[in-house]
Amino acid sequence: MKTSDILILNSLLKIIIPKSKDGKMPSASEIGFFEYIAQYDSYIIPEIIKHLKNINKLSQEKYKSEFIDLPEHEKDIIFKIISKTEKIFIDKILEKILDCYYTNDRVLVGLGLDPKPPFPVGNDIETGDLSLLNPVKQRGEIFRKA
Amino acid sequence: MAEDIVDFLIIGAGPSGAATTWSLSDTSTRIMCMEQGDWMKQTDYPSNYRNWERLLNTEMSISPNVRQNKSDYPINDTENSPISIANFNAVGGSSILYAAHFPRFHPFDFKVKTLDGVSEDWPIDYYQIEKFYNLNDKIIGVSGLGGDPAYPPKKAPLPPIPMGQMGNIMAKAFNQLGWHWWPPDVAIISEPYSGRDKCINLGPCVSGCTQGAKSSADVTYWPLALRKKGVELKTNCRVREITINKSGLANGVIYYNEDGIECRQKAEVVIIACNGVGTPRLLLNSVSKQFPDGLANRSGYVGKNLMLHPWGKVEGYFEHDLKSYLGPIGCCISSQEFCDTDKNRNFLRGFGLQMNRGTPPVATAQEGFINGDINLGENHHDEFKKHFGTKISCHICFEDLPEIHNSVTLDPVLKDSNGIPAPKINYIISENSKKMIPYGVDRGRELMETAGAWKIHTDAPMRMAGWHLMGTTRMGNDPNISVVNKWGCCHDIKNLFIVDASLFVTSAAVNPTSTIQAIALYISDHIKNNIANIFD
Repeated sequence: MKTSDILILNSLLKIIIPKSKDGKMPSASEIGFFEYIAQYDSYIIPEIIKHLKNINKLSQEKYKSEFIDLPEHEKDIIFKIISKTEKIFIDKILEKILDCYYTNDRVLVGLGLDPKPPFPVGNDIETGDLSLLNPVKQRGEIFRKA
Repeated sequence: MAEDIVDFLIIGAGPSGAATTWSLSDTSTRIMCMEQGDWMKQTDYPSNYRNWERLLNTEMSISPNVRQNKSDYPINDTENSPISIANFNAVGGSSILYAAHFPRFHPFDFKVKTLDGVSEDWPIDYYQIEKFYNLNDKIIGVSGLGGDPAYPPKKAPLPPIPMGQMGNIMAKAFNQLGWHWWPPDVAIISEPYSGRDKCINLGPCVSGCTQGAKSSADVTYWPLALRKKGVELKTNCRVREITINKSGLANGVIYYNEDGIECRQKAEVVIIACNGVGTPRLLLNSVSKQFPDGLANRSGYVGKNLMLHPWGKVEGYFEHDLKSYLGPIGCCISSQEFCDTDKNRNFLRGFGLQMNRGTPPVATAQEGFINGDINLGENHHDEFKKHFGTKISCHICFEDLPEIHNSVTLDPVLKDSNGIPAPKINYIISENSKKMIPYGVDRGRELMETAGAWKIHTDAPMRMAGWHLMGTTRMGNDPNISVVNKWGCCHDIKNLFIVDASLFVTSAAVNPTSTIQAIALYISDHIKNNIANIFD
């Protein structure tokens, strides 16, 4: 990917998931998405580059400007158009963006979670109130005899 | 070169194959089990890794068509079926991936024809296999709570798994509606048991249990069976066909070893444990002059009467963060309120309700985006927070009636990596199910509204939900309409047995594995008690 492609990609990621208002949650441009794609789905990079060029082309046609130079609301409009005209690709890339985002350490910490695999620490769950079974027990047997 | 002759050859090392091998190991005979998969390493399961959600949907997907591991065979389950198949080939079989919800069938599930005038009666009943249910619970470690009024008296060896906050909320809703609910039997140990440590609520149970607390067959029966002299488990061996001698008795198998070389193994008795898709596939592929339509198929019933449990879910979102994604997936609490026929309804039989946990972060975001609940852009974070940890899922298991046109056949084109024809699923949702499904979904919705959900989503019948595979070599007294007798012995071949759910006559409205293993033990017990005259 060229620098120009990465700049368009990061611009796009910022509007897909922007930084949260309280600053706790990063934008999708800050989570190493390109490195994630290079590690897990490098086969898709040529396709990403092609679609980024389409996004920039649409931006030039509609607003006579490079995508990265557009104000946020116009970038959003371009993204919404592309989401319809190139839906299959956009849905595919969004699935990966969300996987990358919600596996990122900063994001998990921002959600109040520990950025760790489930094993070996596990989780504590409260037992629950088994006295709530009293009405069920009082009702008695419910199965048909056979 | 032919290999030597074993006494018992069991095909498939899943829940039924494992239970059968363990049971027969009492006989001090030579027992060989062949499994096309391999041992799983607990260190390989997704919950060891940071990207566990991704691994859950790729390498450890429940669909063999997504995984495409060496041990998988492709299944044609989209051309002619609205439900796709879930399975897993390994030592432990599909119990590696199951959610471990472990209810028993009810007594009335064995007498559907007598009680409701549809389907057939089993030639056995609940009380004949009750002691094997108890034995199986004890051997593998089952957690639950005694006193369930939906069943004859039974008591799991271990206390129930935690219900969590979501359990309390749903329990109150069930009570408000006056519906049955109970902490379910689950094949997950809530306390240290038999050398294994207790469940620590890792969460992704359906991608293998790193803790070893889920009572899959590889950590329960197999270590016990393999201690016994004469027991051998051969992995990475894919059986292509069962062979017969001139007298019409099974005498062994042809299989591919791990190098893909064709081999033969002779056996005195052959026992099939390959599940409701794999078993008919194997039989249909075992063609001979005596059995031109597939082995043990003089009735024409091999592969027929496939039952899948159409499945639905009703998901409710709640105001508070319940951390609902934490805890064993299957399941929190369950309800047998609607499991049986109610003549006031316009369908027969019924469905079970199972409260499942919410989804972890990635799944929440992805599903939320698809549903239109969690949008991209400036509202994303607020919308995500409203949906993460706040979801409770009511899964609905719809009893499937056996219908002869629902079947497993051999695909004319698709083959596995050894050139063996793949199975093709031919399945139509029955008219009875079509009436049952909207009623069940309405009950799920009623439950969620009573519990206070502010948003409800429904999905029924679900496509990727063919995880219960039953009925395709069914049990019966009449050899014209069944494949095996009440001892699991093929009517046509006296030394060929089937011990998996393909012998099921009805599907009930609950998960089948507890019943699969109880019946496997029951059949093995019969074999042991009659070993001297098995060929008579």
